[in-house]
Amino acid sequence: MNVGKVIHVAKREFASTAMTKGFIIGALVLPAVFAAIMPLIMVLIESAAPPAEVGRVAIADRSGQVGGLLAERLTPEALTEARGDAPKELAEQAESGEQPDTGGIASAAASMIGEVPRFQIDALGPDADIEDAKGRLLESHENKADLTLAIVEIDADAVERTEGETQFGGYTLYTRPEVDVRTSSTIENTVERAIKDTRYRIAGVDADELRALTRVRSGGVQEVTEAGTRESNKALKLILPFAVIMLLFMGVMTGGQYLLTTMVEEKSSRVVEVLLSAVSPMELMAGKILGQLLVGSTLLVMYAGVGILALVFFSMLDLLEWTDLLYMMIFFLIAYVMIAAFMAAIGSAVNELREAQSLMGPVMIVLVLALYMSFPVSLSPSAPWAVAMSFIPPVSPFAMLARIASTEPPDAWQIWLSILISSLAAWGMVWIAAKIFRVGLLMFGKPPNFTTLIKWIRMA
Amino acid sequence: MRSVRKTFGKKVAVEGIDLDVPAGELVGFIGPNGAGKSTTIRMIMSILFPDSGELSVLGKKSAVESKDRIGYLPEERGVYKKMKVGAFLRYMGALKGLGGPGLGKTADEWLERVALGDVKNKRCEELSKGMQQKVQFIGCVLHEPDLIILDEPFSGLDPVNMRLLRDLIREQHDAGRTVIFSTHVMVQAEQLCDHIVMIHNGQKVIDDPIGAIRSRYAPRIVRFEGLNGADASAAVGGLAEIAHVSATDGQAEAHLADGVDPGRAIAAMTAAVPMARVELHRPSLEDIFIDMVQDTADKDERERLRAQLRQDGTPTEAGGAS
Repeated sequence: MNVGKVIHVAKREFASTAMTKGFIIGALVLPAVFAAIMPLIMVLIESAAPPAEVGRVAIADRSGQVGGLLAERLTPEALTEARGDAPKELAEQAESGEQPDTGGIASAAASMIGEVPRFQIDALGPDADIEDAKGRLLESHENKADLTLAIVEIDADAVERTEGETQFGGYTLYTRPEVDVRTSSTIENTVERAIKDTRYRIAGVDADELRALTRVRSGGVQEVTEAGTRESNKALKLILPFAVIMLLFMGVMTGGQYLLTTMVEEKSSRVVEVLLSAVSPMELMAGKILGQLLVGSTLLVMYAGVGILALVFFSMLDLLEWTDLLYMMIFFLIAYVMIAAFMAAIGSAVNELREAQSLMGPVMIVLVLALYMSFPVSLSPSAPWAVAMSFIPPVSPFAMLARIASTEPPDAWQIWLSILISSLAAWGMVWIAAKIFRVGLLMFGKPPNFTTLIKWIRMA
Repeated sequence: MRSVRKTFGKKVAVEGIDLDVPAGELVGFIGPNGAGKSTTIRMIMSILFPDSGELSVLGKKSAVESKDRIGYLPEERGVYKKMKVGAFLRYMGALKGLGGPGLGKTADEWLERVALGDVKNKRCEELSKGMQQKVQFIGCVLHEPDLIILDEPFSGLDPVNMRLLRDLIREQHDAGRTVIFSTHVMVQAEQLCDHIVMIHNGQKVIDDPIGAIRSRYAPRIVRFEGLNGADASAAVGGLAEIAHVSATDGQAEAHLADGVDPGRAIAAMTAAVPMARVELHRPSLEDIFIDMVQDTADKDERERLRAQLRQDGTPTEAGGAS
């Protein structure tokens, strides 16, 4: 095999795939645009806060005990004050580990809610007919401030249980359909708090005391390692294997698909025999596989690079074991060679891309299976079936990588055994593919089926 | 080539061909479509491998070891549609082991020579089929190979480009290179070759210099036309020197009797009838070929072959077994 020729073929393969507008736009520009758009979307969401809603809220308080407090709490001043508490509370919850996120969401939420609504309160009295009251929601007024936006109906047993019942009553909120969801939820929250506080008062409990009693502060999960104690990041650790497998799948599929496409193009444009006058079939196949390997690696390195940058940015780089990256590259190489060999064989055997689809069906099923199976594998990486899968090609690169990236990585000997088995399988597939390739290249006419391919393997 | 045999499944494509092509020769492979020409050429190129028999190319066991010294224009040829013409030629040159800054210059010079100087930066798909063919020919000779193999190089070319290509092939031959080309149109071979190899049904039926073929198949037919359109057939047919008279394509033809000298026959014919034209007809390769396969082929088959050997159309969709 003439290495120089292989490199020339690989160079052309890479240039004709990766230096095209389609590739640059599809693989590089689109993700970049998405990344650039994300902050923009955040800004848009923030600026999309609703205008302060103006109008009337009617209260039909059947219990006769909540209405006054509620009317007080629905004034703009009270709402502003309550809102000031909300982010604080969220932040406190986050700190105490009740919620996974930090104060970021709370402040974003606050800005999303916008200015507090300016309500005028109408007390309807405990016996008001609700059907009559609903009529107000259908009325129209010149002055927006005169429109009734919502009616709150508080049940008679909202704060004091009916004799013999264990449960309290509640409330119902009627609104105009056009009322913003953020406004109606402000009303809901306020009503709920008013009812709760009234219940506490009646029960003789101090509301602040109760809140203090029910809140538990937690120091989070701390992992103790040789290097020191650090915050556990279990959630991200679960996501990491998925990300790694998706990257692997994407890199392998991109390279493989392009390989198939260029191979079919060379055949259908009949350029293949011209090439064979200069290179041997094996040099051609090796060059093409190598060229598309570069294409796949380019994508992989780029996306993985972005991922690593993100980890650096959020200072979570310690999540990543550098040996894992090495394993990822090795398994990418193996998985790619397996798929590429197959794609080259199929590409050489057919005349059109359409004909390739039927032959590709089984391969795609295996690949997608490998992809999906990696998820359960990463969740139970030491289950016997997961261990078995990580040694059975062509699923093994995916399954083993999922195990490596999981929370219980396998022993090194297992990894290297899997690498050995998978490499042998990849070598075998290249050997078979080479046979099909040699025969298929000059076969035009009727597209082959699997039986024909097997005949070719015997023939070559 | 020694006793080279190649089968595709049950079909025998090439049956025991022996062939020597001396260095510096210009050899034409002729034969109808499906005769085994392309298969033979592909085996010379080590693109296909014979089932049995041996062959050596440029002193090596197979062409694989000397690909850079061979220029090959396959019958099934194409270009990368999206690639620029200049880039395509540079790529072909690079695959043939050329390199350096001289490569681009050589490619440009060649494009100028075949009147394609302005297409260098065009994509291959923008070129006509004939233009693409010229580009492919350049790709085949760019690296100044010792052996040039052209499979049906003339198909799809217009008369002007056919002449251009003929001149280019002759020029390569004059430069001392060995040229093998195949064609199913006999006239092209007659115009160009020193040496003819005729293949029929996978077997070599002729392998001789063109002069030797001519002398072996000495003219035995006199074409004639009576003066003022008079029908001279009856009078000519009555002569002792003439075996019988026939008509081919509207031409009256007198077939000489065995052992009769053509000169004597012509003298006898002009003496017998006033003639507007009397002409000793040299057999074309086409005639010879039809004559050779006569034993095996019936009349319809002969006519079909004759039509095929004249037709200068595009080759039929050839599979691996062409």
